[in-house]
Amino acid sequence: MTALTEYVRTFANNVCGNVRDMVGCEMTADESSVCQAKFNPDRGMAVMIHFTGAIQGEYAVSMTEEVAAKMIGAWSDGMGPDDLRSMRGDFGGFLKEALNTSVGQAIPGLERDFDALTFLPPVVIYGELEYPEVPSGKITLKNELGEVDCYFVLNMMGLELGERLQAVIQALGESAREASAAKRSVSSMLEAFPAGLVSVDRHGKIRPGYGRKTPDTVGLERDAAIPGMHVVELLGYGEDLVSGTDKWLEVVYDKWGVIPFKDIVGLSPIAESINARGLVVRPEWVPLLADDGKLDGLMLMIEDVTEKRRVESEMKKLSRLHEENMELMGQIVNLEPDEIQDFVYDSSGLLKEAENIVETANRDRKFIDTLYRAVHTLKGNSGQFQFKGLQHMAMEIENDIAKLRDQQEWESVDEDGSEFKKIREGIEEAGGYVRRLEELRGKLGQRDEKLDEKVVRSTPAVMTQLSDIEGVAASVWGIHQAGKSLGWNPATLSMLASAAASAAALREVDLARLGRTLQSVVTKTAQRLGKKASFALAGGGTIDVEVLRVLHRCLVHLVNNSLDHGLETPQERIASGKLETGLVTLECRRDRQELELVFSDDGRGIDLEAVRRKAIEKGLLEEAAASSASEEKLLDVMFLPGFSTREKVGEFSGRGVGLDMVKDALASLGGTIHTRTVSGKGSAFVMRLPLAAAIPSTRYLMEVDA
Amino acid sequence: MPKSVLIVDDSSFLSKQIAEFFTSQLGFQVVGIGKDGNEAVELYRKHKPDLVTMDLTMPNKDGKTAIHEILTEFPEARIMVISAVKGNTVLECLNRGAKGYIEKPLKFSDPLFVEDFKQSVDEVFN
Repeated sequence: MTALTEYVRTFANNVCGNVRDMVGCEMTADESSVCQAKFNPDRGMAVMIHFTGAIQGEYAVSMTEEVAAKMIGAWSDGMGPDDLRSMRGDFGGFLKEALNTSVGQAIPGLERDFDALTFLPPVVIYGELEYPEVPSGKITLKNELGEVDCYFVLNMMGLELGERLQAVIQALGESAREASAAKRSVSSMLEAFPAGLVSVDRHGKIRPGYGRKTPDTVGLERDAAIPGMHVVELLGYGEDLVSGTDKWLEVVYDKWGVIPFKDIVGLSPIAESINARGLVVRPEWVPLLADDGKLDGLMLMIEDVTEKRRVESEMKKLSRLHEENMELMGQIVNLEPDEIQDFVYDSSGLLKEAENIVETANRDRKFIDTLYRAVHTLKGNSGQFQFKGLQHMAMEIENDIAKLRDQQEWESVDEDGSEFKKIREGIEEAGGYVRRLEELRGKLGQRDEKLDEKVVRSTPAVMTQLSDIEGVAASVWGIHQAGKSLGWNPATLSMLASAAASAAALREVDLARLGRTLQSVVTKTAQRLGKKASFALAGGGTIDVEVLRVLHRCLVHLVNNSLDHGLETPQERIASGKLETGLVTLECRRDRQELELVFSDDGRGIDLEAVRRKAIEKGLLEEAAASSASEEKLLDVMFLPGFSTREKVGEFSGRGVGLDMVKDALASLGGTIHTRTVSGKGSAFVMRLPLAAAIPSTRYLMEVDA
Repeated sequence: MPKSVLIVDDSSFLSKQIAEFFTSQLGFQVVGIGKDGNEAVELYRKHKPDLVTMDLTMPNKDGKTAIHEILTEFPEARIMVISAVKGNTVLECLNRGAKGYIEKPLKFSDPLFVEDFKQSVDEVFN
């Protein structure tokens, strides 16, 4: 028996032993079939796993459907082919488990002997299998239930790459015939090897015989004269690396056995980088050992990673940009314009400072410390304002600086300036972030001017994000609904509903934000009208950002209306025994169905007589109807189009856009508005919105509660 | 009898860490700690330790010169370079007869690094 067949036999026996354990009953192995592997098509069913790496091969377990049915205890007499076919799902699972158990235990042995291998997922096959003419082993196991074939197939092409495998074969007593066969197939190995592969002598010259893919991986013509070329030239790296590489090779060859290779391999000047032919080339040194442990030669495996790195960096950029934009917009909507302005100002300043230091490339420790501090502050600020993307960038730059700063011999590191370059790139990237923040802020809202429009405006991008969120919530909800009709368990349904609610909640913002903008609208409007007013918000919670925009528009109108018409001048207020400063409030309440917002002022109240006169004047009510109209009826008239109680067009209200607009806007959300007034005491506008529209997440949360 | 080691580094903090590593992890006896190349040569003459760990960038006399001087006088000396410096200087030291190289920073909290370090020390003695 040859060494190879011995290896196959040992291995196959090993895995078959595992199968025996798996099947759970004693089986006898027919070892006479080893290395005569002819696949037995009569079995009709097999599962196989394919592995690839230094060698290629397959391991398979095969049996008839009848035997499989018996082994899983599903067999009963009189079963026909159709019955068996209907059990194929079960067979597949059983076979895969059997295979995984047996191969799983044998893999460490395979990997030890054949270098790293990749195992592809097992496949179940029905019908005939075609096996190539390659060394293989088969063991047939028998017991009272039937027979199982276990195959172990090795594709030995390229086998000779691994010295370890040669050693295995030699250790098993390799025959002379097989040794010569092995030598013959070195060339076929070089043909098939997927990366570039060359052998480098102690002077850096490429030895004859090299992997067929080598020219491609380094960007040379197929027929380039590679043997004799210097390795640096082959890789297309700069000539400045030649002398360093030569020195390195000299030390590696001379000091073999004295200095561990792992200590020295990192000192090689050759490392992944873009070459003169525009490819990103990744070289990796592999020492080849002779039998006595001496260095036989150095091989260089070369991989062209251009496309890989490009795709990686594109993906990284894209996903980062997307995340950042979402984050930026979210924060802009949440922050006050002044805060953003300050943040942009501070951050730009810090980055400018950092950039100046990096530009000078000064390696004075004092400069490094200043640089570190600037970036550290930037990190703190962005954390404070929840700009996570910027915070992350700042952290990376900070780490890079820290690496320089913490070196014990930091003056001598970064001789080529590459660390500084990295830091500079980081700073530029962060600068881009801050510029984008400023740009988006500009698009999202104009500072100071048209405060009322600030929240209303938005970029199409924000709208897209919002509808995306809606889409996510809706699709999760769709799954929930489907699950419900299929009778999924309540815990799963509740989890799905929570997930939909969380997604929907991404659209929601804090009502306090509305309070903040109304606060400034009240202050500024009162100032311009020569009145005094303060604003208070009662109640809180979250609200859909789109609904908030609509409410904001309505409330700005109501504020103007109240301050212009309702609120008295300070003198009038004092004369009537009120506090000089009027109070405008917004109260928010919600129950299970509705969100109620009450906007009220403590002004003079609505002049019902004036409303009555105006209604007749504008032809909104017949004179007779008007004189008998109830208070409620009259107040409703105020919400009709074309109604305005003011004689003169005021600066803020009464521009032809009346309460009718407010009513329409609320109606578009399924809401209503009513008003109440007490003469001399003030008036109130009561707005009601369906909860599902105002706070979308509640729609799903109710399901969770239920 | 435990093996002896001389530690040479201009950072006393690092020297302590390296000394602690050799004492507790490898059972060495630290016979001296030098702060520059001059002290390295003197301490070597005095103690003739089994091993020297040598920093490269140091005041007064750098590690490369110290390695050269020690090996000229004592060709059997076992010296390991421990430095943040990469490239030619290290290669020259190795060429001159240093027997190992550990790159700074020294990550003693990383078990892989510690294993690596131990192995390098082992190989210096094999």
